[in-house]
Amino acid sequence: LSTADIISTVEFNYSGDLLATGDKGGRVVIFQREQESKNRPHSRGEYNVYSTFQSHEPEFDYLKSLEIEEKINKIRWLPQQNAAHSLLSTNDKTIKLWKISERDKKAEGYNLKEEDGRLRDPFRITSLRVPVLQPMDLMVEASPRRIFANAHTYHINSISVNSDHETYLSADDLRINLWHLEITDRSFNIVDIKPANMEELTEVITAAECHPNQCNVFVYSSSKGTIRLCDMRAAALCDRHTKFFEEPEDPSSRSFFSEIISSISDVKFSHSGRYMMTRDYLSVKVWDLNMESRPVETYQVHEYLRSKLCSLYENDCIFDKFECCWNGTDSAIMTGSYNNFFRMFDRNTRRDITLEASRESSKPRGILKPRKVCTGGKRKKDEISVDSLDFNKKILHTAWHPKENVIAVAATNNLYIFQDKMN
Amino acid sequence: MEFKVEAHRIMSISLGKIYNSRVQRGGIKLHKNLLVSLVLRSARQVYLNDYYQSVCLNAQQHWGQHQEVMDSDQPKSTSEPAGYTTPAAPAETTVHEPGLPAENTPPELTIDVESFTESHATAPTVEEVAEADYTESKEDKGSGSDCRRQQSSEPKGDAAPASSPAAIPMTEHLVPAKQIGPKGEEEKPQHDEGGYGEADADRGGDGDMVTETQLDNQPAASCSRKRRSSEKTPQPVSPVKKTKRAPSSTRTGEEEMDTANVSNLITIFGSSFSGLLSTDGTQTEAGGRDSGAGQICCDQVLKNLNPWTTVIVAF
Repeated sequence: LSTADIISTVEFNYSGDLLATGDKGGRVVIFQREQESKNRPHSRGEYNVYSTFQSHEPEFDYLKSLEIEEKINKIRWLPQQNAAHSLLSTNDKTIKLWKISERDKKAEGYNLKEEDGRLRDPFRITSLRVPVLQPMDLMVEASPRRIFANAHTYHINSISVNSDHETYLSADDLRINLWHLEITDRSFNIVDIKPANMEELTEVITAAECHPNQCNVFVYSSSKGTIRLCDMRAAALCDRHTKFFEEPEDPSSRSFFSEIISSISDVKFSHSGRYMMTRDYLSVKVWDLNMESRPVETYQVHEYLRSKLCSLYENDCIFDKFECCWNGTDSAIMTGSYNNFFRMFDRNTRRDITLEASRESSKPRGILKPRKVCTGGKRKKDEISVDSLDFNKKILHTAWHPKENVIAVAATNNLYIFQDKMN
Repeated sequence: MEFKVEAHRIMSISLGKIYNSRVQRGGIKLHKNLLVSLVLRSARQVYLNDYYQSVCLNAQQHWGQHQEVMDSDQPKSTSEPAGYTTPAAPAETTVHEPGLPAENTPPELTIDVESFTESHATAPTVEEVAEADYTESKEDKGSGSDCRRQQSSEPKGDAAPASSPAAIPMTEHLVPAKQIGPKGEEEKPQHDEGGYGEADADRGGDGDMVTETQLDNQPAASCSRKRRSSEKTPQPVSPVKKTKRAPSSTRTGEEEMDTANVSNLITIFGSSFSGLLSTDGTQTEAGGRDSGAGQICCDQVLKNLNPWTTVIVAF
């Protein structure tokens, strides 16, 4: 297993026709959904590779003697404005805007050069012709159109495109910057939680996102399990939040690792913009933006790990940053777990299901079988005990198609795409 | 007792993580190191409180015997235990709420680096400052003003039994070369380098000194740890460097971390820090650079640096 192939981010575009993945090696692979066609009815909805390009390379900061990893931390698509597609991809330090365009025609019949590019001898030209466009094999090209660099001292953990389609924010451990998509040489710092004395540091920013329809609102989560909602109209520097979301800690569950497991690893607004969801180590919480005191829903992802926190601390699993996502209608949420398991929760029926993304359990067109983890006592058939879970097989990144029931699940270096069985 | 062993183990694991973070690709991850330092602080607190609890119990037993023998015109000694809150209370409260500043600060421990070499299992490895106070207040602490440099000289005979139970787990579960607890006033005069010294001086003034100052004015008392009022601040820890050993290149496992490697960790953190925190914070974000030049001067002031705050400050 080459670590460079480990998928580090997964994201559908606005229409769901394109699915982008980034990996630790700095590459971006874009999949495109096949259109329906009568010839091949079964291949409707299959995603095939559309484009592959190297987004980021490893760099070395000579001033600080730091190696900058090329791992793609996040990809976010821009709304499509013309035939080309654009996305933002970021590593720890630099954000790049890539334009992905198709070329399926080429011009032939130039006067001054041959088809292979050699210049023609002008004295040999006896007549003029108009070049014509001839079809060619589809070529998908990716080119970096903007490079937004040198604005982050700490490691970038999030980028989020604003609903105004002109600006976007980028967040690192201590600061959040607001950029204009056209301007690369400067950005506005809108949140700065770096203390004057670093020894007083108590929390860091772990994720940030723009509101889906209010372009002045964004949220950011912290390592202390809190979320702050900020309004950019209030002040140029949004150090003072407009809303502060925190659930009081349950004192009975306090342990050495309480602080670690309360750190929020992902925050996502619902499509409606009314709710947001946060993921901490053991649970997913849905918050109503109008209520700051506690979440409206809490879903346990793998509560059976609570008694294993010490081992998970030793093997570093407790620092895994799981993401979460909404479905298109905000009626269901999904997040990953260990052993290549991922969990889905239906918010209306309160039912949940555990599924596995692995070659053995997923045959093409087969139906996924629900899995169950045995938490103690007698293990039933088909259940798996907590101690048999493979903690190296973790599903950190999942994505849900914006309109349909199609999901993309990244299991280490493999990407699984599942969809609802059609009637 | 199990708390203490577990806490000890977690502390050594945490320090191992901080150490390893230096060599990770991509630089030191601030978030992860912050979380590790929080765990380290919680574990240390539990460890100290557990240890303190067992020490108090032992000491009270000794007092019980002692009092029968001694004259009654030494009221001072009897008041000393009263200067501490009941042993059970701090252990309870701090186990459950490690984040709170502890008014009932337990005495600090000095962990002798030498004792962590594989061969040493004999001499008691922990000295109890508080025990020294409980027992004869005339105990010679050597160059008293710096209790960290105490050799593994004999603690009081009374104290020995109390310290040996703690010694045993500690030789097995190595805690790297750091002294748990104190920073104290004695560091202040030595803190002159760059902004770091300034930061430490600020720290020295804060905190709760109530219980410590109730003790006799032994030099040992001056080693008392002062807690900052901010509950989340990682506690400073001064490393103890008794011997300078050539760094050993092999590590057999997390639990058997070579203390020399950790001394180097502290050195490196120190050197990466020195000169960085000068004017504004932007210079501090270097993330663990080893600079040879800084290393030399840092060796001398290492005892004044705290690994965990240095982790944070190195950014």
